Amino acid sequence: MLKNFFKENDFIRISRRMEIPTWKKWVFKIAGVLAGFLFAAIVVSFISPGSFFKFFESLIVGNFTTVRKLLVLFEEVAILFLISCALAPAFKMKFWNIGAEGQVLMACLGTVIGMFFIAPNVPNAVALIIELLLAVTFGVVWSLIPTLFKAFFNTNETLFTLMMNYIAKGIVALMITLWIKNGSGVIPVLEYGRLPRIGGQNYIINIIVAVVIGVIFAFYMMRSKQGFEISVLGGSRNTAKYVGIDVKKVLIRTMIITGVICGIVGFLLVAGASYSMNENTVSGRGFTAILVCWLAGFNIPEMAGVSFLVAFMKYGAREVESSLHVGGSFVDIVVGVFFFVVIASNFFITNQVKINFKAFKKKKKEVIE
Amino acid sequence: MFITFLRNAIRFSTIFLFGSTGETIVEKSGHLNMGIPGVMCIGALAGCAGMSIYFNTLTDPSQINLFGAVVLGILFTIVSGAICGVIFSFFTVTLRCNQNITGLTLTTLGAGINLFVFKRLETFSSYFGKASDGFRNLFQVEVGANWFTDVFLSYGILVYLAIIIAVVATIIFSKTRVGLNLKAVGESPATADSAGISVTRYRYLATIIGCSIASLGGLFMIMDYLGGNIEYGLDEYGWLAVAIVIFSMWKPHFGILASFIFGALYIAPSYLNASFAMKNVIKMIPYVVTIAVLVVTSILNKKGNQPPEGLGINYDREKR
Repeated sequence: MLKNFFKENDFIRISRRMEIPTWKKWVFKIAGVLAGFLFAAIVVSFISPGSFFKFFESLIVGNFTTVRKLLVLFEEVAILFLISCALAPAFKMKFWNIGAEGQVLMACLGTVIGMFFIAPNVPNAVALIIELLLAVTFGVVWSLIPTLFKAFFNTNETLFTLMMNYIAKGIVALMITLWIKNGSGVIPVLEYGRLPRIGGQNYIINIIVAVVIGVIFAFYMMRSKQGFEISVLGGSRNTAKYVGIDVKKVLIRTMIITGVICGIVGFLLVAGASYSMNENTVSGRGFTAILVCWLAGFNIPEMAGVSFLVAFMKYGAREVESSLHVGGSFVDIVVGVFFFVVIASNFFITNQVKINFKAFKKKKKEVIE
Repeated sequence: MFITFLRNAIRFSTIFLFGSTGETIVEKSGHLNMGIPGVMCIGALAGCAGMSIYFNTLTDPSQINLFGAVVLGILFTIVSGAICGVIFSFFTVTLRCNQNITGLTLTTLGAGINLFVFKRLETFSSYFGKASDGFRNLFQVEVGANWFTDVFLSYGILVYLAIIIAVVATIIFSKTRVGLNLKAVGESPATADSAGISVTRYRYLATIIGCSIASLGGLFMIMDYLGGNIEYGLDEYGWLAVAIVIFSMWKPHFGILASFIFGALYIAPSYLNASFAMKNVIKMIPYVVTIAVLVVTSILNKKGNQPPEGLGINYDREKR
C-alpha cells in the first residue's frame, strides 16, 4: 500500500523549474537561511536545554560587542570571500578544484620563506613585494600542477587536488622541522616583513584588500570577455568548442588566476594576520569556501553575503561554546547543520514541488474501498 | 620486530580497508562521497554511544558481557552509517544537490559531532577500555606463540570482517547481476535507466551499504586499534581511504593490498630509526603515490582502470 502510494506519485509532484522570478528566488534563499538559523538553534537547545534564545543572543554578543570582535569577524569574512573568489571561476567551468586549502597553505609557506630569510636584510617595502611574489608563485604552482594534468591527460581533478592538500601539509611540516632546529616544531612570531597596521589594528588591511579584489573580480567575471568565456564553458563544453574557445587555454588561464588569488590570501594570512604559520594556518577555510561558492551560485556579491553569514555563524557558535561551557567542536556541528539546511533549501529554487491534496483524498478513498 | 611491524600494519590497514571498500561500493554507483571521513567519525561515535547505553546499566567495568558489547557496538555503528548513507543519497538523489558539497558538509558535521560527543562519553572511558578487549580478543589466538599465528590469526573480529567484506564485494561486482547493474548505473545512468534498472534504488542502496561498511572503520580504530581511547579525530584516515579507492583502481580485492601498503607506510615512521624530517617525508608518500596512480591510469587511458564514467554527476531524467 505504502509502496504504491509513493510510486504513483500523485500526491507530491516534483518538476524542474524552467525559470524562476528573481523575487521568488530571494524569498527561498532568505527562508533557507532563516531555517538554517532556526535548526542550528534547535540543535543548540538539544545540547543544552533552554538555550534556544541564548543562541541568538550569542550570535550578537559573539560578533558585534567590541571593535576587536568586529574586526575578527570581518577578517574571517575577507579571507573566506577571497578564497571563494579564487574558486568560483574554476567551479563555474566545472573544474572541481577542492585544493584551495593546499594552494593557500603553499602560499603561506612562500610568504614565510620571504619573512624568514629575506625580510631581515632588506627594507620592509622590498621585503613585502618579494613575499607577495613568492606567495603567488607557490600558489600558482600548486594550482597549475593538477590543471596541466587535467588539460592534457584528463586526470580527475577532484581527487588530484584533494591529495595535493595533504602533500602541502606534509611539505609545511617538513620545512618547519628543517628550519626550526630546536625541535619545538613551531615557527616563532616573525618580526620583519609585516604588512603595516592601520590605526594600530592588524586586520584592517586584509579587509581593504578583500574589498578591492572583490570589486575587480566581480567586474572580471560579469563584464569581461574572459569571464563570459568561462560561463560559456560552464554551460556546455561543446558549445564553447564550436564558437572557437580554446578549452585548454581557458582552463589553464583560469587556474592561474585561482593560484594568484590563493597566493594573495596566503600572503595576507601570514604577513597581515598571524606573522607565523603551521600546518593548520588555513584551518579548513579552503573547504568552507567551496560551500560558500556553491551556495552563492558563483555570484560574486552573493559570495560576500554568504561568507558573512558563515563567519557570523562561526563566531556566534564560538560564543555559545564558551558561555555554555559545551566545549569540543561545537562550532563545526552548528555550522554543519546550518549548511545542510541551506543546501536543502536550494532544491526549492531549482525544482517545483506541487502538493496535490485532491489526489491524496482520492487515494485514501481507494485504500478504504 | 618485523613480525610485530607486519602484524600492526595489517591491523592498522583495517580502517583503510573498511573505508575504501565502502567508498568503492558508493563510487561504483556514481556517487563521489566526500563524506566518508565524517561517516567514519559518526560510526565510531554511534558504536560507543550504543555501548555506553548498555554500560549505564552496569556498576563496574568487570561486569561487561564482552560478546554483547561487541555486537551492540557493531550494530549501532552499522545503523548510524546507514543513516549517513540515507542523508547523503536523499540530498544527492532526491534533492539533486551537488555531491561534493553534500559530502564535505557531512564531513564537517561528522568530525564536529565526533569530538563533541566523545567529550561527553569520557565518564565511561574505563568501560571502553574493557570493552575493547572484546573487540581485540574474542576470536584471537594467543600472540607470541609462533610467527604464523601472529601474522594470520592474532586479530580482533573486525579485521577478519573487513577482509571478508572486501572479498564478497569483489565477487558481487564481478560475478553477479546486481554487481553488473550497479556498474552500469555508475558508468552511464541514462543507459541503465533505459534498460529498466532503477538508478534511484541502486544509488540509494549502494550508498547506504557503502556508508555502513565505512562506518565500521571508525569503530575499529577506536575500539580495537586505539584500545577504547576515544579522544582522537578520525577524519585524516577517511581521506586516505578515499585515496585508496583511487589507488586500488576501484577494485576491492586490490584494495586489500592497497590498504596494507598504506597502513604499513603510515606506521612505518615509528618503527624506523629515522630523523624527524625523514618521518615527515614518509608520511607524504601515500598521497604522492596516489597521485602517481591517478596520473598514470589517466595517461594509459585503459578501460577498466578508470573512475566510473558517471562519477560525481547526479542523474536527472529530465535533463537527458
